[in-house]
Amino acid sequence: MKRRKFIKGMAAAGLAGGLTMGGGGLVGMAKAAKKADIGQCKSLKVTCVSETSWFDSPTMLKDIKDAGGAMVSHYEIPWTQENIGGYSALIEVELLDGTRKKILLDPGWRQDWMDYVFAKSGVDKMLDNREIDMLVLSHEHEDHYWALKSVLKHHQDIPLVFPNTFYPEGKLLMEGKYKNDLAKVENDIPHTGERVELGPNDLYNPYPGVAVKMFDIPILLRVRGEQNLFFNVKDKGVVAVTGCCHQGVLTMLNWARRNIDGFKPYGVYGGLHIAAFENWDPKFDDIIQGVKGFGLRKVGCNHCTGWIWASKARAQGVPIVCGTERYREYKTLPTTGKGAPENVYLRNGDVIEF
Amino acid sequence: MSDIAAFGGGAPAASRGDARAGSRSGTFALAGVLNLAIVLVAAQACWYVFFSPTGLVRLYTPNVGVALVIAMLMSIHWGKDVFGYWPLSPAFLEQAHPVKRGLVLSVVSLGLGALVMFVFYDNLLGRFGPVFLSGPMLAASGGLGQFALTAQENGCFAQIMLNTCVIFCTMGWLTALGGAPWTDDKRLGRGLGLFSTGLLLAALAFAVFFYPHIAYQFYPAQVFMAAEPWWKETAMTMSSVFHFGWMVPALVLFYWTDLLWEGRPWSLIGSTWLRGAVMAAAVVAAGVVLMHAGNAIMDWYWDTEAFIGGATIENPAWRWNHVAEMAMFMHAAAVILALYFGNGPRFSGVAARALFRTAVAVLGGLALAWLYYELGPVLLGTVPGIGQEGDTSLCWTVMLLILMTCQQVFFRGYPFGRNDD
Repeated sequence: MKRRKFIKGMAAAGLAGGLTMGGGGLVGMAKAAKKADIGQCKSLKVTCVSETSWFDSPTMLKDIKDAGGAMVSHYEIPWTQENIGGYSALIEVELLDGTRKKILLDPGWRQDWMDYVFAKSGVDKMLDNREIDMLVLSHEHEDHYWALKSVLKHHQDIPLVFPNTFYPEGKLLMEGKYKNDLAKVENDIPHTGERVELGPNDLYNPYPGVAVKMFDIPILLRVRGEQNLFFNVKDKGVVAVTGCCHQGVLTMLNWARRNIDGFKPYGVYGGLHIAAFENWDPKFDDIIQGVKGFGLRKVGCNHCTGWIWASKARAQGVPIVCGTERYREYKTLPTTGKGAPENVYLRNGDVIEF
Repeated sequence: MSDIAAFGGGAPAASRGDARAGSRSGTFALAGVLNLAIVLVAAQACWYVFFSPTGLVRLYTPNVGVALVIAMLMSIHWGKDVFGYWPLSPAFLEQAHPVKRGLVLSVVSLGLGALVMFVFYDNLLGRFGPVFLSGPMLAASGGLGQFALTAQENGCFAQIMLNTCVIFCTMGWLTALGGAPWTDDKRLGRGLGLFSTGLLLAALAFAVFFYPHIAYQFYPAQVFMAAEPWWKETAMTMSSVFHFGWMVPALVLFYWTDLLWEGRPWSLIGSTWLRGAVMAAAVVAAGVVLMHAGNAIMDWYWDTEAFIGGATIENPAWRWNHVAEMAMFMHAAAVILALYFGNGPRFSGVAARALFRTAVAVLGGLALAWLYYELGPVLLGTVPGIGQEGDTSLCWTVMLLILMTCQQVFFRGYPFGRNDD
């Protein structure tokens, strides 16, 4: 990996120079006096490697309920193994000079499922061939992080970007020193590559037009902190790519509006963590209104967004991009959205371009 | 000391300028510190056994834990403030050993709360009437999204809001009207009057302030069952937590009227019914003002505003709930001041005393909140930070209030004595 630059401290002094790793930048945003110029990229393509972290919501919820509810640590829940899959997205970004970069967002959850979807999408070969430039871990949740071994066994020293709020178990997993027979998570392959650990005041800018922002927030199942990627696509606008988006889709976009120079909303891809288990709450209606107000052009959602939120939002005019039938080619199918008149999720194997 | 001092309806003897209490202030302070230490240890033990996500029973799901402590608080009010401990005899209440008395009152009160939640709501009312009050019945319905955990949390949410209405209306009536028009009745008659009135008013309040939320928390929205949440423009959210955000601070003002302010300023109005009407209107208005002021303070503190659809600290519904959380931290501080420290130094003027106690309650509440968020990850098993969806400090604060009431009122301050013994 090329050395990348961190720009630190738009804080009191406005822009401070690159601190460490040449190339992009890490911008201190805590009390930023100026907006960050993250540059521009030419285009963006996101492939849904897997959005099925779990195949059946009632089973997933029963596992959580039986363990004591949403405040219990995910490391203390005996998950129903046949119900779990994982979340991972392959991001291909073309820079203005024509260079192409590949970023893998999250390694997923159950190793055999992730091995399967990596093979199906060609990610395994890309990892073997060192074609993927970095692995971004959105957050520590089981379904986004626990199959780290499925990546490391192909590319042990892949550059890694992760929030600085991981719990000790998560750090041990990264070191290849963690095994938990209750929750069924293990990794004995230590990550040996470069690591970029982001705090809430940092904005990591590895390539022009690409930025990673971490939000220090408390999350259910005893997890802390989540980060997402922003892409500033020339002539289009800013696209946010998320893992679970516990920071909230509108809070994330609102942050970008306040902190990214020249922000123009364009699109979103990923889990939006709204009606994650097909539950509903009146405040989810608020989010539909808010997203409509932002004027996004493309919303590609899946995973923890909630099928019913996506359906309701699409009915009310949010530009939800519908998926294909490609997910039916996968060996396990989700129960979500079964029998629905249209596919409001970008599901396994689907691609969206911005 | 009046047995209804803990939540309102009577100030401690020391706060009324009782000479005997004044002469023993040093003893009170020491006894207060020791008793408070015992209660804090008990709170930690109870939290670990019943609520903690790392503990044994793990009721802090979170809504099961919150619903349970609020149901218990409601049943304590019924037994203590509404029915005056009927059917227990005055002789037992006065002469029984504090441990015996405390055990009987605590087991009955807390047991009744659990019974209301797990039997009445979950398996009677929810089974044969409004299903939304019962997690198990919602899950049994098999409707979209009503899966195990969601159903449980939704059922508990409805119980929390309905019980809050019951507490607010019952204690509001009691504080504003002093038990009128049943003041001269015996305990049972007075209790039934207050109990029924509280329930009736609560049903109306719930129907207007919370039921539209319930109808719109299902998919599709139950549009024939309730109006669309009519507060959404003002509240910046369809969530009924908006009403929780003014109701809880207003309830705390009702509590403080007798607990800290010796009945002022309302006691200056001679006519019972006029006093009640003015007080009710003023307290509700003050609750709304406090809610919006709290939100403005959060804007300033976090340098960001809540907005429609925002998340964590930008989520309006979370903001309204946080106002309620802060109000309960402050009430917990007020109860500590009143029950464990005799309501502090006694100035000559009522206004000065009230102002001083209010300042202590506000500052003490801020200190308690700071301690909660700083020590919570270590002591309570919570995740560091603020603004987590569903997570609420109310479970811990209400549990603490219940334990303080049990120790000071039911157990009469055992083992170190009470400030008017």
